[in-house]
Amino acid sequence: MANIMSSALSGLLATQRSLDTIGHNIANVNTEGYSRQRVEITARPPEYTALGYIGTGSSYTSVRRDYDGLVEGQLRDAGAEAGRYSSMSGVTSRVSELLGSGVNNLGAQLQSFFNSLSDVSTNASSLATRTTLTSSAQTMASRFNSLDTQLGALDDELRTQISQSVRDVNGFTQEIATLNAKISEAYQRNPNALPNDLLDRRDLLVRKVAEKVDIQTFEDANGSISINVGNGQPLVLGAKAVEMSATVTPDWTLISINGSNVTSGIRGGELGGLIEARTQGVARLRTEIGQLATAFVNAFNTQHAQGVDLNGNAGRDDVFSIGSFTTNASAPVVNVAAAPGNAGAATLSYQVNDATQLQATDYTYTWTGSAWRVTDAYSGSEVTPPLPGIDVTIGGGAPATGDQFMVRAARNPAGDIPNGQLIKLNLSDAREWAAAAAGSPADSKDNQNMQALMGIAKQAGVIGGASTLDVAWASVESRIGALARGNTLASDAATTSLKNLTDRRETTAGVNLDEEAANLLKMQQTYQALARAISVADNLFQSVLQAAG
Amino acid sequence: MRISTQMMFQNSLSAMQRQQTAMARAQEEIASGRKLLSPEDDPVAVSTVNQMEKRNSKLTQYQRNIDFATGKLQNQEGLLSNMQDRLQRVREISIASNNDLGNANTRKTFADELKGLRDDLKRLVNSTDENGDFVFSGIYAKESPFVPNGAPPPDTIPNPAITTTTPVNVEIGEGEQVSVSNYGTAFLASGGSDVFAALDTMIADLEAGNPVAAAQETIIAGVQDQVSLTQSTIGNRINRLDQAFENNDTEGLANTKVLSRLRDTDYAEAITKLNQEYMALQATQQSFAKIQGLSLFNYIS
Repeated sequence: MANIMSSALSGLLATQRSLDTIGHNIANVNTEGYSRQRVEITARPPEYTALGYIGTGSSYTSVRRDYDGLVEGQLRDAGAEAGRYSSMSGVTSRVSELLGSGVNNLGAQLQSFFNSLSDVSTNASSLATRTTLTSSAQTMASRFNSLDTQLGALDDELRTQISQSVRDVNGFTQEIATLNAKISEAYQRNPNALPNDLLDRRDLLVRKVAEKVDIQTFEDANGSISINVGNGQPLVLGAKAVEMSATVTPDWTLISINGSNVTSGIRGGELGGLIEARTQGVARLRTEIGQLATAFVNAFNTQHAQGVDLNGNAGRDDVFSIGSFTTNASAPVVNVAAAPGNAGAATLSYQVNDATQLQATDYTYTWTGSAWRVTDAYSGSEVTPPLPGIDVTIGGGAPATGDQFMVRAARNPAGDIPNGQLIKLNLSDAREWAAAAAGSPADSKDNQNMQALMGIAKQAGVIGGASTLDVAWASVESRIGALARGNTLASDAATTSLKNLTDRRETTAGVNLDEEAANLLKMQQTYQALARAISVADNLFQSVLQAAG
Repeated sequence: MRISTQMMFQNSLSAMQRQQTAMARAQEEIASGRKLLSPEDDPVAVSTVNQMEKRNSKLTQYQRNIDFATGKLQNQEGLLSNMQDRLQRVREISIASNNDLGNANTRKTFADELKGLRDDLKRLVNSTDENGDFVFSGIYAKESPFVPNGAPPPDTIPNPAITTTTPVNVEIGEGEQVSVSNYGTAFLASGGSDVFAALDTMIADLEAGNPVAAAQETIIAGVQDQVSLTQSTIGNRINRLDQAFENNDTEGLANTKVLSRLRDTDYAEAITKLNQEYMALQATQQSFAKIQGLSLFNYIS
């Protein structure tokens, strides 16, 4: 009788634990990263009697979480991949849309400007066609400007996002370090009874860090998870988190840990994606547009100055300008700002010497300790100066190892582009369009210079050394289209694989309310049965007492 | 397979989001009439489309130029034809003055008529267009081909400011140009045969009661040939313009067909897609509501 009472009571306690856990599971059905928990119930050690072993009821031994370590590891990698490609495709799709198709397209705008030149050439003395040309030139310049402004705004947004991404990482790693401390404390108390909810939370945070930046993780002997980033710089070391910091200037993205530059080691995750999108999607495109603008302005102004306007004056050589740049002859010396973190005293300046030779790229100068290493900022390949179309002068004091400079001559030939005004149209009196050949009188219907200006659109050697404006721009559009398409496909694939892994994790770890309801019923019935058993035991006991009385 | 409540919810939700995205896309294609909305939709096709659109825009420009050039040349042709009529009359008078022996009165009348014809020719060759530019001055918009002579005779001379005969060429196709200019000084006063100098001499001769001299008659015949030649050159140019117009038109039509296939929405396809996505979304929504309503907890009291 004592036995039935104590067996039932032990079962009652175990069942209560199970009911608690079911309640906990239901309460966390929507908790991100939660793994469903189960109470492990085992039979208590039996009691020996001369006739054999008599059972003594049940007890709960542990609360376990349903967890798949393998899936968890794969989820981290997939998260880094999805983070990288979805942030990249987000940016490159927007860039691709900005370039657009149809009449809003920069190529179409250039064509329509060249059409207006053709209108003037058919009727060079007509003020009506000349005025149309002026407004067409303005429209084209505005298209360049709005594109550059929009890309500039996108760049500002990316700078904010990169900083935010780094702040997020720091927030997560801080919490991981705190959790590490609590978990290893529990681990030291009893490695078999760990705080499941803290483990879930930590796994989730590690996953979130991996979505932001590609990491390597190590679990040490006392249950802590340490995290390395890039080429092995520690982000979390046991109970200590190391702050990651971002310096994002218009020209540079510098991610550092403990003062050392880790930018080049960051490839994956949202941060890696944002940095790459900022470089390949935005910065490179702005330089490509700058190269087109610079080459066009130089070629147009140079040819325009060869002609004679309706007043009989020589054509002006500053119909368009980019900051103070109008033609090769006007390019000033531009001082380049040192990269953030430069420790040395070296200075660098550049001057465009031939806008027709400028390539659609920027150049990074890095002091290796013994020499300046010059690389193409987008392909990363090494370049041997002299740079095409650019004179670079290095002066000032001694550089420190790792000091960097960025030469963006094609984008900014005079280093002084006003906000939102890549190309400025300076000609406002329509009589000043120089349509006639040199030596023509005032009010000439001669159109030879206008025809030469029209020829610029298809003239080889105007841009990039050998190309035509048309071809150069078409290749930019193809590059952006292919980049955006590639990123979107990669992002779709990464998102699908992340979803499949998430499903797999959910299959094991997710809470199913119907299952919990069934378990609830089961445990309710068990509880009722056990309570009944106690009541029966009580009745039996009472019967014995009465018999005794 | 075990399915979690969260997963059921999430999967239905992402299915609905996906269907809504697809519906929005189909809707945008229908509304804009274009299936290529951004270079990333199909980088190769977009690149081709951009090139072809540029080409079409250029062809449209050529057609505008051709219309303009044709108008200019037809105007010149009309004026030249009027000049030819006047010159023909000068020829007739010159012949008649030689037949009508000794009739001083008739010759005086002829002289008066020649004066009128001379003024007509002057007016015709010094015509201006709608912009006030001289029609037969080539590149010299504001210089008339002929000007009064400061020290007559002759009282009209070729404008000394016109020193070249540079043509004004108009682009009508890839690398193809047609001149729209003609110099009045070239066809009315080339070399030693100046029509106004000849007319002045003829008028003076007739007024003096003499017939027109053979030398002047030769000059007039020569000028008539020059004007005819100019007329036939203009006729040839107009033919070339017509031909170029046809060529550009054919190319433009062919381009537009290809462009339309690459770029424009296939409405039947887009509407079918929209309907499919609409139905799929509706089905997902209904099943979502049903599945979410299902719970064992509903039966526990």
